[in-house]
Amino acid sequence: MTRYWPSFLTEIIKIKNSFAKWLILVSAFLMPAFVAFVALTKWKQLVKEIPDNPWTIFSEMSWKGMAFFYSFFFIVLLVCLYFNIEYKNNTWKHLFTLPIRKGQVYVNKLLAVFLFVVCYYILFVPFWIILGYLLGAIRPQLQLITHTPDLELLFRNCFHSVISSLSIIAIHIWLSIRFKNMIIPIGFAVFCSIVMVALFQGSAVEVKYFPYAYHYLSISKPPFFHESNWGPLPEHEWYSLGFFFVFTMLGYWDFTRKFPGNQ
Amino acid sequence: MTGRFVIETNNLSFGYDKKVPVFDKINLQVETSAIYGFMGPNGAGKTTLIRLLLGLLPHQTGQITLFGKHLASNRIDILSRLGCLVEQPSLYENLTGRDNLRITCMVRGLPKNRIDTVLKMTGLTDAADKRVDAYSLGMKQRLGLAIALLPEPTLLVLDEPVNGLDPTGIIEIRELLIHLNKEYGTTIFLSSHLLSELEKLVTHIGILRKGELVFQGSAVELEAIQRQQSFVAIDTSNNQQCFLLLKNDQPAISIKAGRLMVPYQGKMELGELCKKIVLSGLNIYEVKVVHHDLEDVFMKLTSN
Repeated sequence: MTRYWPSFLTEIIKIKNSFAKWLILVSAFLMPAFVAFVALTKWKQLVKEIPDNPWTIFSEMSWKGMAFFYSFFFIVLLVCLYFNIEYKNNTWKHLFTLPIRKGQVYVNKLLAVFLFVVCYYILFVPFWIILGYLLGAIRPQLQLITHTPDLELLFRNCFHSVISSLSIIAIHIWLSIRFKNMIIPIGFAVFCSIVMVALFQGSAVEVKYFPYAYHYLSISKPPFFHESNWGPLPEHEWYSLGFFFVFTMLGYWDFTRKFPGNQ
Repeated sequence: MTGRFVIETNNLSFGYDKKVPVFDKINLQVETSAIYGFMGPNGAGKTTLIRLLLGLLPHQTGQITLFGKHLASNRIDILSRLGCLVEQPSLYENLTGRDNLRITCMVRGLPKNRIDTVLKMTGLTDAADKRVDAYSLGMKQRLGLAIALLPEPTLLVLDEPVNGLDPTGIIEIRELLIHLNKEYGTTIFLSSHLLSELEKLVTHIGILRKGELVFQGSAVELEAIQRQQSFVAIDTSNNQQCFLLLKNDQPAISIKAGRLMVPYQGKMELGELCKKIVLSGLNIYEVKVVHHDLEDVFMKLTSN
């Protein structure tokens, strides 16, 4: 146990100078920047629609943009790039000749991905606020300077998005263990995004069993979709936790018993 | 607790496909404080055996014992006492050399000052803060070796450790390994295809051919085999007549490339042989003792 934290910290060191690190930074910045750009070009139309607090409309545009494809593709790419560090550098064999249990390596990887996803949302918050005020400074008519953002809603959305992310994190870690070629998990995610669109188009209530739709369901409820809250979380977020548990166990089993590394 | 052998396998068999074994019933024995050179042609199973010894492959039958403990049930304890370099060094190319060492240091729970020590030992101090993707092949090999040396291991398992090094680098690494062995009693198990290099370094040798250990013993035992396989090339005024003269005493005599070939048995015997030829009235134009080097012995042992 005394060696647990140092070995976990090595997972953070590994993303230094890697695409994975840049993906976290750029993804957290890109969506609020894109929304700010759209608001800047369509500000006249937005001014007419401003509710009591103009930040609400900026928040809705940003979160809906994040939730539909953006966040789950971010997670898919992040997991692929992160696991590819070991595959590309042929370092699995080095990891497996160190005095550390394979199970601990798996837990380290899982916790590291979770931490990276949390960092993505944590970084999103200041980027979103700064870009909102910047937008307000450029276009005072949007009244963003004279109002304050709803921080409670912001952090609540972050919390529910992280819960929704758990299912995709576990599924894609398992896929990255199963397939060395990162095109396969990415292809699978593309296929699942098509299925998700079809489910929404078809107003299928079964969408609550489909992990790739959870980000969107946590932010915005489509008109056909009704679900109850079980305790502090809506139904689909409990399913997300369920998927997370099942695929984490499956990944742990595969990693500790069958995973051959780069062979 | 280590006993006489640091590495011992007992009837170890393995095959990626169970019907086609890579090797069958290998009994490897590496003595404490030995420098054991492991040789074999490409595809003989050297790297597979090294992977099995490190627990990177699940072994199928037989036992692997390191430091007197079974690998299967004492993996963590065994790995904490050894350093290894398997095939190309495993390095995070997006990180600096120092960061790569830091990662191993943190996982093993070693003091940070070991990093500077191994950097100095492998001559990488100046390049420590450069990214590994800017390293040459030789520098990567040195860094891989530095990572293996980090835990001050009692056993070093090295697969082709001088691969990619220039002659100076090869000499430096050889001297470093000899120093570790002499000063700290580190047991070194290494494979290499550079036979001349192994010859200068090892105290024990194992030769693997098609999954079979065709020779295992000390360098002295191998020298005896080398001596046995040396011969004398003689050119006389009439080689055919000389052949008939010596045939009864030397059943293994032959004529090759216009020379008589007689097995070398020692200086005294050679003197007697020459005397016999001269007394028979033949002139000797050339007598040359041809010693087998390790390469010849290797070729002989590994050829069909």
